[in-house]
Amino acid sequence: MSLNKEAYIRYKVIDECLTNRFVTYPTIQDLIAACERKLGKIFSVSAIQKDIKAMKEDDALGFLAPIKFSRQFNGYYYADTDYSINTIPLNSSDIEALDAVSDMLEAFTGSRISENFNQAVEKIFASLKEKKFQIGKKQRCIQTDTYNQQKGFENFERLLHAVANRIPVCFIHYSYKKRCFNSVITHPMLLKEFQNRWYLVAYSEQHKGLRTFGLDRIRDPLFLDKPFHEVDERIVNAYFSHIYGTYPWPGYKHQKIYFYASALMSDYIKANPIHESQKEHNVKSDGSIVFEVELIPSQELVNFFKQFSPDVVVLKPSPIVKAVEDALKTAFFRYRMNHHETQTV
Amino acid sequence: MLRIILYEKLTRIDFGHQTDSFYIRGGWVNIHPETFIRIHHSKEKLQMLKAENIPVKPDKHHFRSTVDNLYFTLYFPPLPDRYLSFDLIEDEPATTTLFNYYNIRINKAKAIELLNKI
Repeated sequence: MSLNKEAYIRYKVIDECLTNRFVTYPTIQDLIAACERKLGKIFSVSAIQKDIKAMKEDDALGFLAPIKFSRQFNGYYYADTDYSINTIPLNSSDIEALDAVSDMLEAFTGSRISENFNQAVEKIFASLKEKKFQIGKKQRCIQTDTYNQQKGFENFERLLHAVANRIPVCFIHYSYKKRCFNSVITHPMLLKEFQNRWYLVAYSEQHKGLRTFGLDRIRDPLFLDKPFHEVDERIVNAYFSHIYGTYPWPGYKHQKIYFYASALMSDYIKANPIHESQKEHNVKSDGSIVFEVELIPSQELVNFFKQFSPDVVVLKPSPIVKAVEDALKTAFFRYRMNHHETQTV
Repeated sequence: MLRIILYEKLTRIDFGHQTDSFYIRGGWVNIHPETFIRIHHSKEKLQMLKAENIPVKPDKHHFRSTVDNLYFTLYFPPLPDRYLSFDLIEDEPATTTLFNYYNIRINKAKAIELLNKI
């Protein structure tokens, strides 16, 4: 391992200690111990102090970390509590280095990296290419949806580590529907993205089955030292093979769903099928089409029908028709009410 | 009270508070600076070290609605190993508006070890 690479790992370890919310104000001995655990070798006080100085002052390194020492707590801390070296933007040499490995990573995306990640990896490559252009010219060339705005996205890396290394996780979950917090123990299986939002699919000990948790509802995930509950990959894949979105209606099996689409929307839906099971059931002379899909009803599917109403009308089965009808009636009622209340806005 | 985490140097307790229609716009919350843990059989008191995501009295967190919520954490010194039940007291005498919890039992046989305790 080159010295530079090892030094960078030490900076990362020091940064992790300084951003650890559970143990604040690490002493120099805490930092030395953390580096020694990570790298498996002995470090002196002066070596770690030099690292801290470099992180604070080395222009070439570029961190300029606001590290301070608290006499009260006898430990180090970041003066800016939001600071982390992980938030430092890429410089040109970083981008060159990433570019060099991107080809290698691209080679893996077809086989090694889960299909759910392909899109995300492609976006990273697209962003990387854009950044390369930005060095020479300031105008943006590519714009991708930014996931890191999602509340809870800060836990993405931690949860990804749990999925990849099969580590059970305890986190606090807030249910928007039930309006309550719960401490849950899960065995993370997959991180799934749907419409710019990330979800954790995990075996829930509480529910004794697979469940989907929006990252925006997950607080403070902690790794647990206990055996991992494996779920057969076929069951995980089956969980999503017949669903549009992430939250299947409990107790419903996949079934044929028919919906009408106007000529305008038919073109759009043909170009962007909502599911691989999508078929054109009945094409009318005006260009409108009745589509058929075979899916488990889900909230996202209802939202889809609501979103494109009245150009899309679900025909059957009746529970979905009723769910969409009820939602649209409520929306209509609220629009009417708000129309009378506009004076108060 | 959602979760109790026993670190070597700290005791961490996580809370979730959900507002309801009892107060207009959910009311407000804060935590008394003298909040403590009282070990049952020794009556030893462990004073709160830090409050995270909740203001310390006299500051207040005002909720915005009757369906608002707050997730917050209180830190205390480590619980002595031999003590397995305690009270968490914000203030006494107890009222319905205080974060007082009595007779909290820790069953270490059922506790789960954390990875990466630092």
